Amino acid sequence: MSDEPGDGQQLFDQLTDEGRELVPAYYRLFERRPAGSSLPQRLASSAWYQAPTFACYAFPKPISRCRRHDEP
Amino acid sequence: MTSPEPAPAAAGGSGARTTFSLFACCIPVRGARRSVICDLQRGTYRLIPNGLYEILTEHRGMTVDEIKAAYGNEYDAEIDGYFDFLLAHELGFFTAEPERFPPLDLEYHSPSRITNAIIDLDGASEHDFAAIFRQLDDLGCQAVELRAFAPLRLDELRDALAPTRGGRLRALDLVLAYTPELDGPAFAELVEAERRLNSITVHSSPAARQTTMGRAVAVTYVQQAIDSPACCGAVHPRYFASNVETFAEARRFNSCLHRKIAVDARGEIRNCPSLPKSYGNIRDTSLHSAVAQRDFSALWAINKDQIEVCKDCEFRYICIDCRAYLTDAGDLYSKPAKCGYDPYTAEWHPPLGRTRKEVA
Repeated sequence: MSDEPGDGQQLFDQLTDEGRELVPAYYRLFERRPAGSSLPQRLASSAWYQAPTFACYAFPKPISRCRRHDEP
Repeated sequence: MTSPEPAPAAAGGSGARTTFSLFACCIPVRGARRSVICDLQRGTYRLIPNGLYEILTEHRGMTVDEIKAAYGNEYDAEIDGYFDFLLAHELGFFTAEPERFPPLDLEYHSPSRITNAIIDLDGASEHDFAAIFRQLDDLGCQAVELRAFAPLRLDELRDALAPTRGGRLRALDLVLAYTPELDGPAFAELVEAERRLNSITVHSSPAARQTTMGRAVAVTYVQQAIDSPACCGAVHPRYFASNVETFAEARRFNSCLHRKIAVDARGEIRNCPSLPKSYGNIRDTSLHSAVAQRDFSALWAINKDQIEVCKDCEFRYICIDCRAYLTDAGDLYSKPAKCGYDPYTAEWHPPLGRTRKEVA
């Protein structure tokens, strides 16, 4: 799998629903599970986050917590 | 529990002495009734019984046969099941060379005096966003959450975010009050243009839904009205943060307030908008001078190991604390009022405290 920055959107499109829910995430490049799933399952770190097309840093914890639990 | 590979064949048999090691990023934390293994790489956690925690810590470095013998061979099937579980969930591995896999260094250091900030605004706010973001930039702030309790026009939002473009700020989260404009193409264009945007919550929406815009910015519409700082402070698994930074920080510092600053809707500078103490108004006090005040960082040092009840909770290093709403207003070390978890029964209940209880 290429990790060129231009592949990011294509890779994100391949993510499973579960994988797309893994937000906030650091960098939106992906790695496959070693066990052989054909779909990328989760996000992985990469130095490419600084590329202009990947302004994808997210703070590692919630800054505030206002939402109720009975809504998405 | 099933195992993807036969585990203990090498673990207790002939040949090299093989023992089980958790991956360095998988760290067990004991609670009063049960434990968790925090997977700090995958951002998840797995609940485990305290018996397995004991095996992983007190019996670390022993072979499976030695562990079974330590329990008088009364629990052999359960112990096999435990290791099947660990392997199936990719939490660890058997190795004859455990010394090659050192633990993570969980010391927490940050180059930033302030790492995150909240800016609140309502219909009467008169913030100078250029000045605020410039000062946050000087403090090394990495992430800002902008919370609008009242509707903003898109041009007002655009003007507020414009000063973020040239600085070091790396992530922006927005909480916005619903207006029909937020359903339109102009809002989508704004999201696409503001490249530091990470997530957006639109409150007071006619319907709840989730979508993505721009470069996969998560946009969540909720019907709930987020109309004051009193909405904040919820403790719930949805807000758990299982990652190296948060885990390391929470072991030593307050997981919410450490290196945080806030400017409330009136311009008062606080540790968080829900706390009563003001360190001056942004009109005449710089963020830098507020942070430099002696007691500004006093709450930073209250970690979960010092807080009643939380210190016995298995989630204490991945949970984000709250010191603004407490179960005992007179005890700065009491449990967050908006947490409904009881670590002594391992059950979630509706939070007991819903009223504002301020710390002195």
